[in-house]
Amino acid sequence: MINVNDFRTWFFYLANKAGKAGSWITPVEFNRLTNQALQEWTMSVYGNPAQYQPGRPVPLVAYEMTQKQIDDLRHLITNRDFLISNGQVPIPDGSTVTDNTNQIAPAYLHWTALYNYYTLPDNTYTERDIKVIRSNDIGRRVNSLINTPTLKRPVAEIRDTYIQVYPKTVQFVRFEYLRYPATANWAYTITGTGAQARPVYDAANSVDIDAPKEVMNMLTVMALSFAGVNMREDQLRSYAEQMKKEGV
Amino acid sequence: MALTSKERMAEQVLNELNKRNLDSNIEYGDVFVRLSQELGRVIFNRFVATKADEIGEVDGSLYYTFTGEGNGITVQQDPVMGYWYFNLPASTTAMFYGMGIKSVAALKSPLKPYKPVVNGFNDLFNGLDAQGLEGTIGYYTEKDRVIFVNVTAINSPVSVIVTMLAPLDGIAEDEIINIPSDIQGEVVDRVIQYFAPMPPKDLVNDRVDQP
Repeated sequence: MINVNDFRTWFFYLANKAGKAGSWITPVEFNRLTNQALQEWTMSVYGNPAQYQPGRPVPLVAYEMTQKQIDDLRHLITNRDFLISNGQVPIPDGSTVTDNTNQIAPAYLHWTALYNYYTLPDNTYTERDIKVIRSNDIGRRVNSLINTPTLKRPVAEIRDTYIQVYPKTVQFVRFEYLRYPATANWAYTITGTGAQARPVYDAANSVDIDAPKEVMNMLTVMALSFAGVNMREDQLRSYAEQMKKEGV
Repeated sequence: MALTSKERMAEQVLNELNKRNLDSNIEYGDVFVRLSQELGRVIFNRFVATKADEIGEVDGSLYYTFTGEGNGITVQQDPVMGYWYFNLPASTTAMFYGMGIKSVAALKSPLKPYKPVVNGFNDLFNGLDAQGLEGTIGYYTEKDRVIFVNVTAINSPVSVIVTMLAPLDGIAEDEIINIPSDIQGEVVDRVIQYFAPMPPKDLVNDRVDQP
């Protein structure tokens, strides 16, 4: 986790805009910049579709492509067990979907794996991979005489609010996914009045940035790039974009 | 190599294809089917090759007996044709002299197998002394059935066991079976070759054929 106040201090030091007319960033705007930068960074590590080549949908950097990518996103990896009926695994939305222990499951962001707890003859469980296939292949697979989905080799398709598993008799699954990063928040209290009023960091009510400390520089330049657009500050924006390409 | 199973051989194939990044659309079921087909082919080729040396043997470990989970395979009477038969539990391997089915016997008398006869036996021997097989029971294959000769409601076996040559598609994927390690290797190699796609001949869209 990155301390949100440390991040803010570093952000304003690089921006060097504090107090200048027309370039003041309010705490609300700062929080928005921070979370948008966090989203950009998360996508860049998981895989950015803008980097796809025609006929080759592989980004320059993608989740699990290297150990670095695994390490960078490991804090988002979530495991939840679900008892399901009719083969439907609910996709966690972070508010209503509960797992088999009745706990709210964190909101789903990206796929990692889905397993069926397959019962062996000695009544122990083994985890069998559930392969996700495209919706237009489901009919062919379900009616296949060679590759019919079984409890040992189930398949699934992703739908709007749930994952449909075949065969529908699958009852107990483990869903591994990347959750949405927590929303960062620099909370504050106001001290002083009138022109002397200043926001002061409120550690107790703040939420730190849900990313490894190592990537604070990258998050900062991403936030600065957005801020540069807001402030019509080309130098700041071009510096940030350059740093994003070179890596910081 | 230790005893194996269809699943184990299929995993070996998929692991190898995975290393070559070729397994995207290949499922276990696809590999099972191909393993069964290639095993039959390898056995046939080996048999033919050794036949030239006057050996012509099939490794005994390649035979498998279906017992109908201990209850035997049920014998039925065809309501139209009247003959007695049972359904084959697996595909046969095409071999000379009907070697694909090694033996058929009553569940209670496994050491007294019936006599294999060729399809067309009845046509050839109808009305002749040989038709009776000296009071014994014969059988031949037709479509997915093994049909009995000299069987009536009086002497029909209730259930039978059948020993077949390499009936891989009738064996559960995780059942431990014995396939000689050299044959395993040959079969796995052939299946990998089957699934490995041919490299593109011409990658450059310049209307010029590349070597």
